Amino acid sequence: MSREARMLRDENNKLEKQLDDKTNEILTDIVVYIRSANISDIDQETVRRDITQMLIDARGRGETAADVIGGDYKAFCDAIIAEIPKLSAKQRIMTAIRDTLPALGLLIGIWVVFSVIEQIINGATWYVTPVSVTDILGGAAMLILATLIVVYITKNSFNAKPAALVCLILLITAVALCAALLLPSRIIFSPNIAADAALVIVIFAAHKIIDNKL
Amino acid sequence: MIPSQMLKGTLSGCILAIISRKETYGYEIAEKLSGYGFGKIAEGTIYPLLLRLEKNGFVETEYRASELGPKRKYYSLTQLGSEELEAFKNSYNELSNAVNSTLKGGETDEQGSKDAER
Repeated sequence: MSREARMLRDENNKLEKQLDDKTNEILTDIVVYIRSANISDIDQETVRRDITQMLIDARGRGETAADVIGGDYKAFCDAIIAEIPKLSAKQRIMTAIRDTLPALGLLIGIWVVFSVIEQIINGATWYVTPVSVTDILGGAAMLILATLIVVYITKNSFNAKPAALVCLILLITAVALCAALLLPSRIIFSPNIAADAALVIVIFAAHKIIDNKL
Repeated sequence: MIPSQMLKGTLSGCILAIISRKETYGYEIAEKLSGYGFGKIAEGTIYPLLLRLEKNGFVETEYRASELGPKRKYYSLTQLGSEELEAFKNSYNELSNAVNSTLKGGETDEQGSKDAER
């Protein structure tokens, strides 16, 4: 996210506090839906500011969100998204990588902690963290699951069905568990904990660099 | 009430005409359109159109505090917007003349048929 977009986001966060709870709820649904669109961070924040200001103005006139936007919030969002320039394929890929890297870094961090605990319990060298095939597949499954949940929630912000979301989570968890149990747990390499820490730092640094470029 | 299909093609041109008179903001544009007989048009209906006009370079925007206090996005016409407005006026006049001729021609034809029957 560019500095300009970050500043606008902070400004929008403050602006939203001027709205009542009900209007804020509607605005949240709108913003979450717009986040799923293939548009830049700065365009997302610009639209968010315009809509927030529109709703604050409406409140001053004693009007509701429905009076200003009309009853169909999804149609309103789709009409807006249709008018905003789309990200290029390169920008889309960069955005996806940027959004995935923090989750990957966090996942590796958690895995290292559990790996060290496991090594200590087993009486093995604590600073060596063996990586198995199932560790990699399990991690990948978790990242895919997290991404699918985010996509599901953002695309369905106006009509999210909790039951469908629970089914999706259960299905992917079941597939990941089956894979973990059925696949051979072969150790493929055993890095030092310092190498793990360096990898996490590199991942977060890469995230920061890409984020500043977008 | 003007059908939305009819409105679609003309609303952008009318918005340009309103902005050409003076720098203005979304709610004021919606109010003016209502005042001109377009019926109640929500600000949310014209916002995507304003985004399109901005994307096409027909209007410029500036975000600043209004006289009454809250910050507003003000729209002003660009040179390209003025040219687009002229093009819209010409196209609309052509369409209006054609529709009027067709409707009047229809009435004349009907009257002619009735006279012939007598």
